[in-house]
Amino acid sequence: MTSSQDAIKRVVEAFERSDWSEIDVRSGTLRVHLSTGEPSGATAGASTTAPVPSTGATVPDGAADGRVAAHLGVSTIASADTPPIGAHIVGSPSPGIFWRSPQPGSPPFADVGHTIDASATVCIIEVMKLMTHVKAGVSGQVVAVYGENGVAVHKGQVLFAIAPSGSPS
Amino acid sequence: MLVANRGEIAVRIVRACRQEGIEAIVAVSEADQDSLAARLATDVVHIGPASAAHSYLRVVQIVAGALLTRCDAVHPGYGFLSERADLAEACVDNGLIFVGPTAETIRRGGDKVEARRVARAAGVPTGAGSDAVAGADAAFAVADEVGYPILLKAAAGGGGRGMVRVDGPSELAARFGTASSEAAAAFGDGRMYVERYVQNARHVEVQLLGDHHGSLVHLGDRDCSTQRRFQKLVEEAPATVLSADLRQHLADAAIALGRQLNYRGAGTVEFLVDLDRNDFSFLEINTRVQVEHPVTEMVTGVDIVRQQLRIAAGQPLSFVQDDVTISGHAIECRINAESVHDGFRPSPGTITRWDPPTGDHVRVDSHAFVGYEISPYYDSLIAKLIVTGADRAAAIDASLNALDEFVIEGVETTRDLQRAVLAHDDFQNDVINTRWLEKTLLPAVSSTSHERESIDG
Repeated sequence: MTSSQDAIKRVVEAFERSDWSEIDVRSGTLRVHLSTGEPSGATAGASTTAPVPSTGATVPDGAADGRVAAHLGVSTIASADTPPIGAHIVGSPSPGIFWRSPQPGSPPFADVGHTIDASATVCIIEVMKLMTHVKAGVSGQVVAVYGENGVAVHKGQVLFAIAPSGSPS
Repeated sequence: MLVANRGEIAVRIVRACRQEGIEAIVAVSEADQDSLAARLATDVVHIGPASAAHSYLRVVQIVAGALLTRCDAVHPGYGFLSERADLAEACVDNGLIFVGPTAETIRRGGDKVEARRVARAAGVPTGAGSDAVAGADAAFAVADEVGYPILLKAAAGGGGRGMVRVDGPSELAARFGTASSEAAAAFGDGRMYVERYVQNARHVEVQLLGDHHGSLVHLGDRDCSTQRRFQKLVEEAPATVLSADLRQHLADAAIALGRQLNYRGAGTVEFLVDLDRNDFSFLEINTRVQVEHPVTEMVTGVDIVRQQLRIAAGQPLSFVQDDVTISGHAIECRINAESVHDGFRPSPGTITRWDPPTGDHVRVDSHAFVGYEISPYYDSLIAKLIVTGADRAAAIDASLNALDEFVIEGVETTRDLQRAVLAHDDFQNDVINTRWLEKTLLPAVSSTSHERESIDG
């Protein structure tokens, strides 16, 4: 058995005797992704040790796409998501991480269909551990939410569209 | 060695490993693949996305990363998982050495209510206050007894997180519930306790080193009273405000506490010194290497991180208490990427110019370089400037020169604020306290200070 096979075996054994639900680590050409199949739709019970085509550098990992946060500044809004005309747009006040709820697992501050007050918090932008509460700015109904919870957003990036109260929706 | 951290401390640990002849593998998130620590290390292991909650804060990823790269040991640095007993436990369960004290010691030290109990058992004064209070009513009773203002603290908090100053009963009524639920959200533990708020206080801490063979020594004290919102900005060693008597009492107290916990590895016992009463009380114990450890290294000549590695390998300490001598004075400035004039708003961005000072008495611990992108995902510390002198005045002078030499462009930093601190008469005359920066200096240097909401409180 080679030393890398031995290392992989140790990871698999550690996983088997633990109550961990997922492992995904990579070093050089080795990658170990193990999952009990519960979270994020990963292959149930599978243990894959696949070589990664290139080493070092930035390899976007397709298998983990939902969880990999976009790098700062590369998040874009899909053209299909162009904010509705007449809607109030809430943008990010600074570069940072977009948090839709006050803490993990709790309901979002604002979701599509919610009626909210101008002074209501719609999200938190975290930048270097500083949490800034972003306010709606107008009272009305949330018509669109752009961007995924926990990913990096850039300054001015559109996060919410709100139809102001009294305006035709 | 798996270095389970990032930033300047990862660089510091990699260097210590090299000096000890240990291969270092650095655990990196997607944001840190090209970090200075990664470049200096033998290899890296990728442990997840940029968000720390999905990488540096995941015990399973750290342990799996260590096993995949055939590491024997894990160094947690500071912050992240460094004071999480479950990492220490998972390491031991998987045949890995955890560089730090036992899970049991971390657990007892990290629970602030339990730590107060341990301190009392060791005969260390804990200051007026309570154990965990059952609710707002119990908090009222304690507050009446110790007198306002009080500090309402989270049992699971620490390092300035999870505490709130309360000036009177109506404020206590208004804030107890929120503080407790915020603590529950942030730390998974809503227990609160009450302490008397010391108005004229210095923050003084004692560095400990303990080995597996029953030897426990202290490396003297540090003064970290220049704080903003309980976050340290300037630290020094030794704490010149202490009388010889008080210094000995603090050292004895730290050793007694360490013995009570069977302490091994590097740790720090923090105290509040009450300048009006000339006494001290136990604040908390940090069961890891501290950000400000270099000032102690500079005045004792002991390399604390290398000692951590040797202790973890089971080696006995090579010196005893009497061998430890303090010579000269050292000052550390934490250079943060923050905009002082905009309420200390973090200033992420790309460093376009980086000219750190050099010279005989100058040390810069940093992970930054030209082209380095300061990520919004992590804290704002970009460099620690450590300067020594024959005495405190000389160290202040040399620090001011070094701060002047330090050129950083591309992001805003706290450099000029630290310059203002060191140039101020109050600081030079050593008559500051833990409130001085906010009460005296900041109003003088900054006319605009935006209040920002923070989940940390």
